[in-house]
Amino acid sequence: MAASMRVAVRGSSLRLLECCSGCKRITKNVPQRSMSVINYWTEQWLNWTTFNLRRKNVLVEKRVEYWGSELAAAHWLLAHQNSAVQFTNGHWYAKNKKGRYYLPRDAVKDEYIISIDAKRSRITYDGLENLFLLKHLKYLSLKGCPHIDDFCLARLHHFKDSLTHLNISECPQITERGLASLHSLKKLERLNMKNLPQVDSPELISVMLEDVLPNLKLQVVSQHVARHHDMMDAAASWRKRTEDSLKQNTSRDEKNAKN
Amino acid sequence: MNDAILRYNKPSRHPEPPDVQKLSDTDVQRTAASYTDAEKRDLLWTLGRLHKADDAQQRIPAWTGFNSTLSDRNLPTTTIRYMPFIRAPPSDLSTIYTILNKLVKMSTKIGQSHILISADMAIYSKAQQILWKKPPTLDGRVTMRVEPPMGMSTVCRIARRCVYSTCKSDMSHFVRSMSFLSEFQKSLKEKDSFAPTENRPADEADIVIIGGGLVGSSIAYFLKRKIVRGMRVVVIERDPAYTRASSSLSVGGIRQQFSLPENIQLSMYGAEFLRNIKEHLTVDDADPPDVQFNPYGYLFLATEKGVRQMKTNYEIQRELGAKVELLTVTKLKEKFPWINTDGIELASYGTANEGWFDPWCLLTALKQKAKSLGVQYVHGNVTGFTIKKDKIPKNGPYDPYYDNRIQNVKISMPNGPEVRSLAATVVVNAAGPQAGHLSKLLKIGEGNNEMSVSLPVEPRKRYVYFYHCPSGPGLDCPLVVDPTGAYFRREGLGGNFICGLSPSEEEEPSVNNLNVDYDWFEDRLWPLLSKRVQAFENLKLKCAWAGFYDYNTVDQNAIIGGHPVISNFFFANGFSGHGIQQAPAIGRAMSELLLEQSYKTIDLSRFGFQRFIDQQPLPEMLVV
Repeated sequence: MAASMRVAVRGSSLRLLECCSGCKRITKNVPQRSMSVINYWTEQWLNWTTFNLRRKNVLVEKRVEYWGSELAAAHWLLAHQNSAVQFTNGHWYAKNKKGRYYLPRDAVKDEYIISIDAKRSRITYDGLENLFLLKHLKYLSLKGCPHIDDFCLARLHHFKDSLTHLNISECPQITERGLASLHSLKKLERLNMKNLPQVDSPELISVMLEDVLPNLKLQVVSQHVARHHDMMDAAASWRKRTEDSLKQNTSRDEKNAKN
Repeated sequence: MNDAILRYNKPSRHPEPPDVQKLSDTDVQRTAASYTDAEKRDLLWTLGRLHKADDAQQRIPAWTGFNSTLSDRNLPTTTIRYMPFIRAPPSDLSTIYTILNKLVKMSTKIGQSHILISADMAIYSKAQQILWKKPPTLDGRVTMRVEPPMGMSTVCRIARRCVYSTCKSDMSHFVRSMSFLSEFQKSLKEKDSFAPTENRPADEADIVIIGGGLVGSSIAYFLKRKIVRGMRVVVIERDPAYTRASSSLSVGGIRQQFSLPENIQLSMYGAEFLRNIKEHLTVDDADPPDVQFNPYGYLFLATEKGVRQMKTNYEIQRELGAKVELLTVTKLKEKFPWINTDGIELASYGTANEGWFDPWCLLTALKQKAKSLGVQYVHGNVTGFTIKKDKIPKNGPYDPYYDNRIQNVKISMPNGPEVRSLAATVVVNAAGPQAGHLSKLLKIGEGNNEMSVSLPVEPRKRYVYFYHCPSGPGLDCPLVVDPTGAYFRREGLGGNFICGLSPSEEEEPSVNNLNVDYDWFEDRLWPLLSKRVQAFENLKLKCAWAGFYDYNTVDQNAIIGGHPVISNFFFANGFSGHGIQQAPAIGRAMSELLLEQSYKTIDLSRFGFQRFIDQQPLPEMLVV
């Protein structure tokens, strides 16, 4: 239980958890009652975090009925996942410093969510259900989300008609198998997969993904390609220069010969 | 020595104490005479020894030797003997009584009047109980003592049912027997099943699961998950390295595309279990398990003949919530341009919760978690059962009904002839391909009425081939199943693929071994693959392996539930190639059935053994 939760909690909570496991070593000589008290409260806290996680990721149908699909998803993201949302009119909505957010009261026709910035949010496999009704989502950032794993990436096929930019860098649970399941996102143009701790060879995956997805340009690959093109250009220009100089020399010789 | 065991009936009354006998006068005189005799001998000995002080030139032996050479009695030379096995439990008083009588008979044969027996504490106490009642055959002949700590105890522990008789022995004989003993002990130390720990199952268990593969471990885990304390679960596995087990040799696919709703529900729970495996199967202080799930889906292709079946299956799957799409030929071409769509009318593609994983990771994770919850894994082979007929009133006290129950499971332990008997309340058959053989031990299949129906599960060999094709389908390749039954899937990222084909009934290979037939690939499978995907015309076969399907010959579906006649025997067999994906759900269903007497989440009553007795098979259409 403790090992699995280590992945699932954020920075400060992770430190608290490590403190608790460290406590075991420090409190070896402490009488039995205190140890059990520490264990009890740790376990209670772990139970609360799992319960809270599940609670924040439930799809509430009443919300969808009341607000409509776009606003319901926006409410869920802002209130429970502490993310930011952009609509087609270009406005970004997020929680302000006081923890409050303001969204339009009624759903406006033809106003869709086009980008979601869910950096370091606690979206899980079940939570992604809230987003499936969004048909016009273009930019999705799941940077640093601790609960996003291969199964979640497979679920992203719901956005195959609209998603163009996807950022899944720094997600600790993603492996190569999940990355390969992104083959269904046919309109994908940019994919950010930097700093994925469990992926050993992102270059291979990027090349294979580029093969499958027509519009995709991955930075890793394009860097190499650009370098290659630069080299080709440099070689071509050098050749041209040498040829020119040769020509000049020959023409000068001819001129001299003539004269 | 296969004599019958003498029945020992404990006498109810204590024996009379012996009369105090007074020494008669003649006795006194005799003792006085012998005393003077002894003094004379003693003097002789001292003088004789004093004559030569040097040991090398001493001709008179030491005191004991001197007296023994002078005496006219034949001193008995004793032997160390190794008792043959008596096939009976050592804790029974009858067994110990038999042993003591045999030992006394042996000692009279060699002319000994009295024997000294050393045994371990348990046998010593029982034997003393018998001797205190002074039975006529043993009275005055036997002295018991608790065994000395070192050499004899190790050997005694091995031959549990035998008791040594050790006495003062002839020196040369003793030396020879000592060397034999030390060699014996050395050889025994190497075979660790004789070490007094781990592999010994208890004498009784609540639930005994025969077979420690995925299904057996999953049942054990779900049982112990509900009741951690107070229930003893024992799993008997004859091959702890799983070299021949179907669980580890499987291709490891999981799909929701079945034709029966129960199968779909079972696989859906399997996928959910795998998704949440870190939550379910993490053992404290160890890394969370990772089954390496590849979520690429299954693609079933159908010709014109199979379109109707595929459409009905699709309806059932959608109804139950499985994420499956039907693809027409144009869409199929668009999505997977490398497929040759000749003859294909319709395809069904699973978009979520379908793919393949590593069943070995799941097996080790389940086993570790089950062990941490207290399940005991025993390395042994089940060779028989003891069945008892109980007269219990089923329909009230005036209507007794003979109820057959398994009383003991006989396990033959490895590295030796020992056969242990494990008393069991419930026995679950999770033996995989050998399930039919196991049920034959219970005589299911011989008898009248319901006992005449045998369990129709037998092993069927299936080949899996691993090949390399660099120009083959890329990342989006799912597990493609041809209408002919041939299937292939991508393996890793290096252009490697895995394929297979189930042979028809006439072409079934023999199941005596796990040898692979490479001609089968060349003749049958390769043409089908190259027809379906043109790039597979150039491929290089790298390696292959074979495994057994636990094939249900009647309808290729699971057999779950109890037996109508033997009331404490339960089945979890016959998965015919989709056991891996259904294992977690089957474990949960069995635990509900055993602990709560009915299925709570998925109703598997249609998969019971009764369908073979009523002759109403329940066929599964989509068997790969």
